[in-house]
Amino acid sequence: MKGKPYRYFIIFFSISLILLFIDILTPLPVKNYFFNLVSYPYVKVQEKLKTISRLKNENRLLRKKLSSSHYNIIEYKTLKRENKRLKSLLKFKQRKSDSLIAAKIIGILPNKINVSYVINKGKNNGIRENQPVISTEGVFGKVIKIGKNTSIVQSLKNYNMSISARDSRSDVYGIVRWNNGLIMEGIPQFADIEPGDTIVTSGMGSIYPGNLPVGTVSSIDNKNTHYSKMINIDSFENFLDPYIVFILIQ
Amino acid sequence: MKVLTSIILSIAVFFISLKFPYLIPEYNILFRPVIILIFFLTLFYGEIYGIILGFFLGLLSGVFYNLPMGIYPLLYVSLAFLFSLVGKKIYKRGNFSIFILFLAIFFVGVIQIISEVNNIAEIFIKIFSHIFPESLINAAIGFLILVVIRKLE
Repeated sequence: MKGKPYRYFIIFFSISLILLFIDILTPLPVKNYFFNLVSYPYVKVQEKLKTISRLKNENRLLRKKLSSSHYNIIEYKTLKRENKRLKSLLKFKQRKSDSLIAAKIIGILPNKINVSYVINKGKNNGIRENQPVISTEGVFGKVIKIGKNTSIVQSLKNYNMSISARDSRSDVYGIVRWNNGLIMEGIPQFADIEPGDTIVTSGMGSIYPGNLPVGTVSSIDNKNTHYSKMINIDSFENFLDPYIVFILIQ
Repeated sequence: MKVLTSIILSIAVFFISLKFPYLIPEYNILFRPVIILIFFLTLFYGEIYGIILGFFLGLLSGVFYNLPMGIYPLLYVSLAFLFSLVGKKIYKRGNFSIFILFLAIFFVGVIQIISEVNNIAEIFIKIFSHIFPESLINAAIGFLILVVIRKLE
């Protein structure tokens, strides 16, 4: 902008004076209109900012409530699960004789194929190697190593484990072991065995007593090329979230 | 570019003055960003920028504070002219030019006090308890801005 500053000063000073006199003598009606026009974006922006701030606060509070509710839900679910377990344990204890030692699973020894569990009972509690381990559902595994106060339990879900079992309906005997799922083999081709039959321990081995539930027959693999049948079993114990197991004292 | 910068700065500073009218609300110490802006526009962009934007900012202030429409334009146009005379020509953007800013804020404050209070004793008390610290703090802010501008230059 070029020009003499004095000229600008005189022009704007005069306009200001004229405006002042006019406004004092007769208040300008255009003033309100001008105010509304100029203040509109300001008021709108301020309203928006207030709304954003209010929403942020609300959001923060709701998040807080949500996380607290989430925590409560998790706690509730945990308690519910524990309650269910304890109830089933109580029933189980009442049903079984007192030759059981309850042990809590305190660790898992992960292995790509075989999984073993650490329990909180050992030599000091009367635990010995090769004692059978059961859960509230059925056969769980056996003790393979003992320490003073802890032991390692090899579960059924282990390639090195096999137990002698039978069909509780037809008394057909076989060997149950893990092979990408629980299977029973060594059964003659024409043996009477059907899906839904319950498989229990036979009591023929030196470890497991008879009639401990293992699982139910889910399907029969009937290949003619084989000399024997192979049966797939749905284990009663799912091994997903073991918590308490029992060691059978014989 | 100068025109655009001045307009954007004016709008921004005006809304800042509306949003944050007080520097220290407990002591009624006002923030005077509009006067500081007119001072710097006059000093760095020239007196014409100061006068024109001072006029429009004065109009806006009159409208928003619901005062007779010519008062603030008159005040700001006069201040811009004062800054151009004293601040730019005598002190040449030196540190001492901030003193002119201090005087201008002090002057505006005194005028406001005179227009609001009738008792002379109270006017003097207010001048020393409010206007003087207010001018000092605003001038200090102006000084900081001047230092920053010099660093950027």
